[in-house]
Amino acid sequence: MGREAAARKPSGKGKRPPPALLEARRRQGEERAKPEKDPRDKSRPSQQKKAARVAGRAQASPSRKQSPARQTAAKKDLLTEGLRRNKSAARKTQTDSRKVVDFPKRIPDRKRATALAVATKSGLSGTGYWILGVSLLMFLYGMVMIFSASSGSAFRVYGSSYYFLLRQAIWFGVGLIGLICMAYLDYHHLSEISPVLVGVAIAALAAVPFFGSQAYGSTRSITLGPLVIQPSEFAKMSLLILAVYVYNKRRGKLDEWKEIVMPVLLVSGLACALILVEPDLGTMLIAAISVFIVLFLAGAPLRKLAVLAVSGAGLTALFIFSSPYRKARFLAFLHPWEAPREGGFHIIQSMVALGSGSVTGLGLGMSRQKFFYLPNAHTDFIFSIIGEEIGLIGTVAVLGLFASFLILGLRAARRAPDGLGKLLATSITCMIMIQALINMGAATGALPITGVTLPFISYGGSSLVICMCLAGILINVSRQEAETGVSNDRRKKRERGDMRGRNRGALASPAGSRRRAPIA
Amino acid sequence: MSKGRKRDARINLAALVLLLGLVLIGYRLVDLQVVRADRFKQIAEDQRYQQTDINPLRGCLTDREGQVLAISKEAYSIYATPYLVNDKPAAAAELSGILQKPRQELEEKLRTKGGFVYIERKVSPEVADAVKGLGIDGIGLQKESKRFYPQGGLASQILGFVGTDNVGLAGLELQYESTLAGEWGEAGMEMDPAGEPIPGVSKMIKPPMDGSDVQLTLDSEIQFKLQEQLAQSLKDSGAQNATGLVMDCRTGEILAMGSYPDFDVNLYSNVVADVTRNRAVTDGFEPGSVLKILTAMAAIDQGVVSPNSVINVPFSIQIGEYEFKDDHPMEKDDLTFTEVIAHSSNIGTIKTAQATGKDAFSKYVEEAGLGQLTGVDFPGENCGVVLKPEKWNATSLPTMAIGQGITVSPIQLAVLTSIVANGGLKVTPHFLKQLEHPDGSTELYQGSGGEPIISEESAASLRRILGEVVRMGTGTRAAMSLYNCAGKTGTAMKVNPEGGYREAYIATFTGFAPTEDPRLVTVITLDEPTSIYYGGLAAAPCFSQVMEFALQHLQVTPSIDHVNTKEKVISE
Repeated sequence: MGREAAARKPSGKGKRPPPALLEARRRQGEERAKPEKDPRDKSRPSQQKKAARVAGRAQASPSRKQSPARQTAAKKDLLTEGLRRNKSAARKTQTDSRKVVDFPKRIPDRKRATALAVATKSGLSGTGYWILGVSLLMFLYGMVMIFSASSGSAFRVYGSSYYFLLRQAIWFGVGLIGLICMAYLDYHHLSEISPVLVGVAIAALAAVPFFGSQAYGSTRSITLGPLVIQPSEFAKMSLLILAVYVYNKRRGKLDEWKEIVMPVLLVSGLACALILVEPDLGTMLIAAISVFIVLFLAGAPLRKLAVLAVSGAGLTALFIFSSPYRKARFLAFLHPWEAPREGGFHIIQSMVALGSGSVTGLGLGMSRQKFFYLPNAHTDFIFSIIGEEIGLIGTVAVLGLFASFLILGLRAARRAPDGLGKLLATSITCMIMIQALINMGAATGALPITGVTLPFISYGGSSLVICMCLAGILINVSRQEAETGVSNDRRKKRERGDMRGRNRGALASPAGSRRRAPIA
Repeated sequence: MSKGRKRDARINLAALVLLLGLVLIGYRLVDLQVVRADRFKQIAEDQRYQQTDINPLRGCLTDREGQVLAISKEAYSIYATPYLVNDKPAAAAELSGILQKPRQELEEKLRTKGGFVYIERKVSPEVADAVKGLGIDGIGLQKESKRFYPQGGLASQILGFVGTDNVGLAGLELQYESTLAGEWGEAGMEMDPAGEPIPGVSKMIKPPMDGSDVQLTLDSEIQFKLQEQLAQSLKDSGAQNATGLVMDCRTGEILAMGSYPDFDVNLYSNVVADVTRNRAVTDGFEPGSVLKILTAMAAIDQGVVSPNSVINVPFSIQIGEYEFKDDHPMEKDDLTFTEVIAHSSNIGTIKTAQATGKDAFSKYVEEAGLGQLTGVDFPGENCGVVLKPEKWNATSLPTMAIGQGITVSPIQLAVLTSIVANGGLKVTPHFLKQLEHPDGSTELYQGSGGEPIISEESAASLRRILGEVVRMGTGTRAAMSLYNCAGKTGTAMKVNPEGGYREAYIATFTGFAPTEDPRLVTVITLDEPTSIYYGGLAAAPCFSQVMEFALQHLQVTPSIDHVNTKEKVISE
């Protein structure tokens, strides 16, 4: 754990090019460290002077002293430290702290560290378990409902009742790999590569109009052999991470337009425009709202946020109202009964599905509305089918699952080791919740139908994989909370709202303070 | 610090908003799924629920041996939901290849407005499979049943036919409609927007009750022979129409009946209505000399004459303003009554009738069932035209005695003949042998057993007299090789619609066999024969052929003492 912390700092340092900024941060860190007598500062000179082996031990041991329980864990870690140290000693004899802490980046060590983390159970915190559990529960719930909703039409169209179920199961495998990768890929690294992710996403989005395959009048996906991928889903995630990464670094400076717009808003605007061209209004809105929320959470001034919200809403409205068809379709939810056979049809059919399900539902597999009354019953309108087959019990269960997800996500955020983790976890939770609300709002006739999936539950490979990746990041954030070892009393203080207590705790931890220093 | 707090406040605000969102959705769900649930259930039912009638399987018609004459087969109707058919010309082209219909006609149907149009009704399952294989959007199949007549044109006028909706329109299909049709069932189904039933949610409200099978008294073999011979005599005589029937004289069971030209029921929509008529039941005609059976019956039974009574037959007699003559002059002036009938002397018959008297004669007309329905189980029976006795004028009795001024149907003639044949009983002709209900139970036809009209002895005398007709009278051509038979010829001029008679004839032969123990009655009528028009020449040979075949087919013992069989006739 201490080792990981040590590993992170230099790697961060190594990638931080502007020396002025670096200097400023270091000063900030020292200022904060002084009253607290940050052990890191003590260890630093020795590190610089002595060999790598001494550095490792010196760095690890003071941090352990905070909690006796952690010391045993630290001893285990020392074992790996020793191994690594031997290797590193053979290669690098001296002395520069940056070089020393470069070692853990090497793959074999990371793998071992990961394995150890899993083995010692402390690798996955309680929150992590719960997030994993809730996600899997939603997925399984979705699988049952996807089968129920799609078996009839799948049999008619594809000749096999299991067509969609099988595909979703395969995508789940992919998603699970994504989830594990994200859970063990340090979110700090992830956010550092987010510009690359966004680049890939925009390239993929740009490719959609040329190589995409059309469905229901819009071109949203690229077919790669057996895989059908929606780049917009990936773009949604990478934009979010980029926004978190950049805005977190610029906390306190967000009252300047330049800091807000460059480059995140610019890039987001480009991606949103590309998504809108497909057209996929729903995903575009989720991406845009998510970035906006990151800005909000990162502390951008309310006036600027208001300007952004108004202009964003204005642009969206312009897009919607520029075409009478889109306008009619978008606004149909306000008065579906005026055109029950055209614009209002799907809204009414969705409400009919929910209403005829009543409290207990018609029974699993007994949905009637899935027979072509509701389009894409297994994707966009799975919530309505749940309501029809399992009734209010089923729909409230979905609400309950998402409420738990919200609470767990925010708990992970609250216990995050640093501002980045906190912002990341909160934003991810918000994004998934917003998507869920847009989907359920459409199904209940409270919001316009935009064709977004219900996270974890709806059929859709890209959607599921991205949701699981996002869950993986949340798990990663909560894992690091476990690793930093915030003691119970501090947690209580934090819950009481004593921010100073929390911050002090963070500063008392060498790992925490070292992270905070470059970030804040 | 304050910044951190502010940030956490923002997180809390976001969380609050999201939770509020969930609560709002929850509120909306309670509204939709609890408060307004009944309303949406109603909408759901209104748009999906459809009460569907389930058609029962129509019963079969079989002959007396159980051979199937009419059966309902699985068939499919092809329909289109025009607005769902995207590429109409292409769809029409593909369909026309399978259905063998012009492409333009199909395309027109696909362009009709509205949500439903039949492309083709009742095609075979093979064609339906081929259409299904095309997989055109908006084209659907509907399962139906189609009436099929495996024997083709056999007894087609008797069996009749059904309409596209499987309701009997003519013949026995109409007569036994309620028995054959069964009862419609009802099912509650839920339909998807394209009108396809949603699988697994149909509820049977009332199961359909299949129709009963109707076994007929018809004998396919005899029927075939009759139709064959009718066609032959039509060819030989140049007649416009040939009608005949074979009936069991003891019970009234009709073994065969038909007219030529006939038609194939399976193609009924392509034939003229005229040939679908079962003339033996529905057409009345002036019978001419064959009605002398009735005159003889009245006279013998009343004891006015005996077979050997001698009657003076002048060249002509004057009654009122009319002069009656024989068709051909008799060989001698004094004939026995048997000879009068055998040679079909009009004058001898008229004198006998006058001796019988108006009251007695009219009584027998009524009792023999002329002018009344025979009660045969066939729709559209013609009861014939018989003037009421109180309206008779001076010439009514003599004209009716020789079969003019009265119309009868072949089936009435058959009943009249069977009174003589079976020893004096008037039977009710019928087609129904028994009903077989879908539950396996059967119901036999309960006949009336016959109403006595004349005495046993009178009938025996009349049989001898009619036997002489074939032995040495006008009906020698009716003689058969193995069986003695008896009967009466008739050659009637047809009424001119403008009044009077015209040079057109109806040749008739009615008879029974074997004479000594009659089993069958057969009536043959030829309408407007041209080359040969005497009943004895045109109709009798047909009678002979059909009767002999029928008796052999029924394994009736051949006559031992050959009185009027063919050898005898030829040897003479």
